[in-house]
Amino acid sequence: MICLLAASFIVWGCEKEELGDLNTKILDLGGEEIAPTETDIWLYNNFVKTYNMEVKYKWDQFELALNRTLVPVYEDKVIPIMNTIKETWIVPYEKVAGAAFIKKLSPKKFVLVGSPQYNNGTITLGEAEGGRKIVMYRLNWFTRTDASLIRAIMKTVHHEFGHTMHQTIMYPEEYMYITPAAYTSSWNNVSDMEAMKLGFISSYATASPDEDFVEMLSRIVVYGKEAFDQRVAEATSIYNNPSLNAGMTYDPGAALRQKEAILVSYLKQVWGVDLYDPSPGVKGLVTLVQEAISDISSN
Amino acid sequence: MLGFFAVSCEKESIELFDKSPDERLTEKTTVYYNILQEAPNGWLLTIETKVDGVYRLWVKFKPSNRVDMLCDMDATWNTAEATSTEVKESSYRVKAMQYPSLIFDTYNYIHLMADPQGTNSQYGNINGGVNGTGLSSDFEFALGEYSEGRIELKGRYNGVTAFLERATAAEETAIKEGALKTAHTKLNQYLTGMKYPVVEIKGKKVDVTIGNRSTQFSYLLDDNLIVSKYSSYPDLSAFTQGMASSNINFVLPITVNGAEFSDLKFDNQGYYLSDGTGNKYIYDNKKPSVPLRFGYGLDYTQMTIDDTQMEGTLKDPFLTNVFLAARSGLKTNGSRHMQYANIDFQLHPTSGEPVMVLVIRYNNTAGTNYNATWRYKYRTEENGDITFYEREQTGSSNERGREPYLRPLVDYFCKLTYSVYSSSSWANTVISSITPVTFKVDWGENNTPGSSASIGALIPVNDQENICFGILSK
Repeated sequence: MICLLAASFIVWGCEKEELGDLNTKILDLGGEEIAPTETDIWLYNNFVKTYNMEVKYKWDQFELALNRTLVPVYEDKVIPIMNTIKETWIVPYEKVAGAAFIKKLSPKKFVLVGSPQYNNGTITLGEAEGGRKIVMYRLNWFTRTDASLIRAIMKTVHHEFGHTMHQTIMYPEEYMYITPAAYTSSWNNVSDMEAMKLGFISSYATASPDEDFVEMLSRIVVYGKEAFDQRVAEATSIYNNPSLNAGMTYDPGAALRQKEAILVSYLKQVWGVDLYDPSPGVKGLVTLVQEAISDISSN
Repeated sequence: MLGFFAVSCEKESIELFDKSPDERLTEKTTVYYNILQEAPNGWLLTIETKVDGVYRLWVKFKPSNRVDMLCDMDATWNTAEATSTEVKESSYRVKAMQYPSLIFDTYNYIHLMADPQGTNSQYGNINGGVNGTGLSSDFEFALGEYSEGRIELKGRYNGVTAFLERATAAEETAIKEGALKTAHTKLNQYLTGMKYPVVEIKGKKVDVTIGNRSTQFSYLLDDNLIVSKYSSYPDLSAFTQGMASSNINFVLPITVNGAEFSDLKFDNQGYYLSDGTGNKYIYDNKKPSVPLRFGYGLDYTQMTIDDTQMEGTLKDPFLTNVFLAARSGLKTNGSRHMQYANIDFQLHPTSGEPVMVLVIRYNNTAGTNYNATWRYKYRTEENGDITFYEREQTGSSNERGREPYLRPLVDYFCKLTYSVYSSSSWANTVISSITPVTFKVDWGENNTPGSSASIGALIPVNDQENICFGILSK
C-alpha cells in the first residue's frame, strides 16, 4: 500500500505547477523588518561579525521553557553584560589558545532573560542546549561592580563551554574512575559539605562525570586556584580527623587533585590551553579570567 | 487512495486571496503598526492581572519599534522605580503569530507586574506577588480589531484581559504630571473620610470597598453573606473634569443584587451608581451594613474597652456609670489604677465549653501591671442575642481582692450577689443570687478622630442606652 501510494504520488506529482517566487521573504525568517538599535549594532560588530554568535535579548518565548514565568532583560544592561562575557571568557581563551579557537567551538546563540527561572524551591541562573545555545537568567540584576554576580554568571558560561569542549573531544576515561561510586541523579540532595567529603568541587558535580569535569573547569577558572586549593586542604583535613572522617574510604583532597591533573593535561594536550601560568610572567587561563573579573568590577 | 491522488492532481489552482499568506500577514502587521503609532497622545493600556486587579500604563508607540511608558504601579507598591513620573523607553514589535500580536520585547514598566520575582527578599520584591509567577500578568498580547479608539488585547501567556484606549491631549498632559499615580492618591484621600461606604441597590444596603485595583461588594441575601470582588480602576476624569476624585471603571459590566452597571461615577456629591431606579450614592454608614459576627470561632473574638483609644466612641451612661465608676472604685483600693478591660471568647480550660473571659488590666502605685480575670458562661439566643448567665473568678488573688471595687464593670455582664464573700478563696464564696444579662450584638460607630478600628457594641436588651462599645479584634 505504501509503495502504491508512493507510486501514485510520483506519477501525478509531475503535473504540479511551477513554484512561485522563491525570493519572497518569509515572516519570522528574516521577513520582519525591525530597525536596528545601538545595542543591535554593537552586538553585530562584537559577536555576530567576529564570532558568528547570535545574542537574543529581545523577548522570544519559543527560546525558553513554555511553562515558566519569565521576563525580558533591560535593554541598557545588554552591552555591559555581553562585554563582560567577552572580556572574561572569549578574550582569555583567545590569549591562551589563539583567535580561531573560540570561533571553532563557541555556542552559536546566547539568550538573555531578565528574571531567574523558578523551579520547585530553587532558581536556575543558566542552562545550555548541547553546546549550541546558552540561556542566561536573572540578568536584570547585573551591575558591573558586583563581582560575585559576575562570577555567578560567568560560571554558567565557562561551565557550558566546557561541555562543548568535551563533547568535541572527550576527556580521558580514567577521570570517570576517580570517584565512580559517588555519582548520583539526586545531586540536589547532596550538600556542598557531603560533596566535598566525596571528592567533588560542588554538589552539582556529583550529577555525572561530565558535569563533574566542567564544574571543575568553570569553578577553578571563575573562583580562582586559591579557592580550589583551600577546598582540597579542607577535604584532606577532614579525612585525617578521626572525629570527622567516619565512613570515608579515600582522601577526597587527593581525588580532587587527580581530577585537577587530568583537567590540566586535557586542556593542554587537546586544546593547547594552559589552565595555570605555564612559566613565570606567562599567564594561564585562570589568571587571565581572574584579572578580567577584577578589572571589570573595579571600574 | 489512488483515485484521490489522481483527482487531486486535476484540480485547478484557485486563488482565494489575491496575495500570499505572508504578504497578507505583513500587511496586517503594517496596519497595526500604523494604528499604534498614529495616536498623537499615546494610549492608555489597562491590564487586569490575575492576582491583583487592574494596573494601568500609558504607552506611546514610536517609529523604529520604540515605545515610551509610564505605569501606576508606584501608587500601591514601593517599587524601585518612579513608574508614574519617569518616562522609560524600550522596544516593542507587532508580530504575526497565530494572531497578530503585540510584544513588549525588552524590559519596561509593563514587565514589573509579570516579573516572577514577587516578594522574595533574596531575589527581589518586584511587585508583591507570588514568587515564581508574580502578579500573573502579560506582556505579549493577541491584538483584537481596532474600533472607536480602542483595541481589545488578550495576554498570550497568562491570558489576562487588557485593552488599549487612545489617550486624549488632556489625558496625556495629566499623565505626564503623574496622574496615573495621583488618580489613586485622590481616590484614597476621598475615601479616608468615609469609614463604611454603603450603597442601597434595589433597596438593599450593600457594603462597598473601593480599592485601588479592585472593588468589593458585600451584602446579606437570605442570611448568606454575598461577597464579590471585581477588578476596577480610577480613570483620569479627576484631572480632565476637575473633580476631587475619578470615576471608577470595571473591566467588564458587573451585576450586584440584580443591578448591572459598569462604573461608579463621581460628582460633587460623591460616588454613585444606577440600579435602574435612579442614581444611588455611596454614603458613609458609619458602620458596616452586614451583621457583626462576634463570639467564639466567629469573625471577631475579642473586644477591648479602653477610654484612651476610644475618645468620642465610648458613650454615657456606660462610660460614666460603668467604666469610670469601676476605675474610681479601684482608686479607693490603695490608689490602684484601672487601665482598660478586654473581652475574649475562648474555651474554658477545664470544661472545654466556650466562655467569655473578662480581663481588667490595672496597676499599683509602683507602676506594676496586673490582670484580674473572670469567666462568664453564656448562651446564644435564637435571635443571635448573647446571654451571660453565670460567672466565676479564675483563682488568683487579683480578682478576689479587686472585685469588690470593680463591681460596676464586672456586674455589667452578669450580676452576682454573695451571702459569703471570701477574699482568700473563690471556693469558699457563697453566691446568693445571679442576674443574667442579655445583650444584642452590633457594630458600633467609630467616632474617634484618627482611628480606623472596627467597633463592636454590646447592647443590654433591658437597658438599651447603656451600650458597651469596644475595639474589635480577631
